[in-house]
Amino acid sequence: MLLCGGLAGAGVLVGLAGLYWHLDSRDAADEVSTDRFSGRAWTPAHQDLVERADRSKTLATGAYIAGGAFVIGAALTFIFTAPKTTTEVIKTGTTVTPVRDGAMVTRMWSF
Amino acid sequence: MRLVIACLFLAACTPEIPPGSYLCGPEQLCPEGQSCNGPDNVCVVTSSAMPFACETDLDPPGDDAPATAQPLGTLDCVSPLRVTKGCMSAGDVADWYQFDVPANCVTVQVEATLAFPIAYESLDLQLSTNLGPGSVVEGTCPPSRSPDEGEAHRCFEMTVTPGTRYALGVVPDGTGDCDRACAFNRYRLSMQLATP
Repeated sequence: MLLCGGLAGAGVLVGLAGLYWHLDSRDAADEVSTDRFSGRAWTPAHQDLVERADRSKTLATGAYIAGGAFVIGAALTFIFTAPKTTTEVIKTGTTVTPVRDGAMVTRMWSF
Repeated sequence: MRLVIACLFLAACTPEIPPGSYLCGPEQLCPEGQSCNGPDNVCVVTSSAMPFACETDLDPPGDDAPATAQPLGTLDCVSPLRVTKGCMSAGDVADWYQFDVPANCVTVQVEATLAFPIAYESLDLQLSTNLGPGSVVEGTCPPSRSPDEGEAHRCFEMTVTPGTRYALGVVPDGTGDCDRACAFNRYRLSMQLATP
């Protein structure tokens, strides 16, 4: 159960990191994206933004994959390691069994 | 609906930079897959980029020294702004422009501004007195277009002597020329005489 919770927690944390990188990538891409003549010159700063967008996109993709793997791992761990439930029927009561020279009385309790 | 909004919020991680949306940066810098178009300094698809070329009338030969400078004409002590467009082709060492300060002026200063695209070689302004050797002159430019808008500026103002012949030189400063691969540029030289 501890392993399961750890995996699920790691999945959420890594997923949040992926969201951070995703938003960072989107912000950087938005800063240089345009659909018309901008009137601005393409400078090394713009180039850096493109590289940042690409780098964060790669990190976000990796984080989403890793986070998803952790969550799936948590689910599989839960499925395959949960304790199996068994039902045992214990008949209680008093039994009298004849034996040689007499009889044996047996009392059974369930606790 | 929330899902759609969430998708829009998260989407667009790849920059969208269509050809023709940016001017060329320093040393013809353009987005990946694009190149600098010589005629207008705009980043376009590499296959459609035209080479830089000077128009003939903007690059007259023989103006490489103060003594053989192109005349800017007669100026008054307080002259209107005179704007000259020019072009430095590859290998051009300088473009010089000559002017005379009228002898009847009391105190007069020359004010000049040189503007040129940052995409090609960087230029300096030089001043020559009595057709002697030029020296670099530079002052602070008033707030105007920034390099972010694809242009660089050189400005200066200097008190000059009435009755003297001067020449303004546009000279490459040896930087921003793509290791000589873009050792050319076009420019706009504005000058006037004014009272200090």
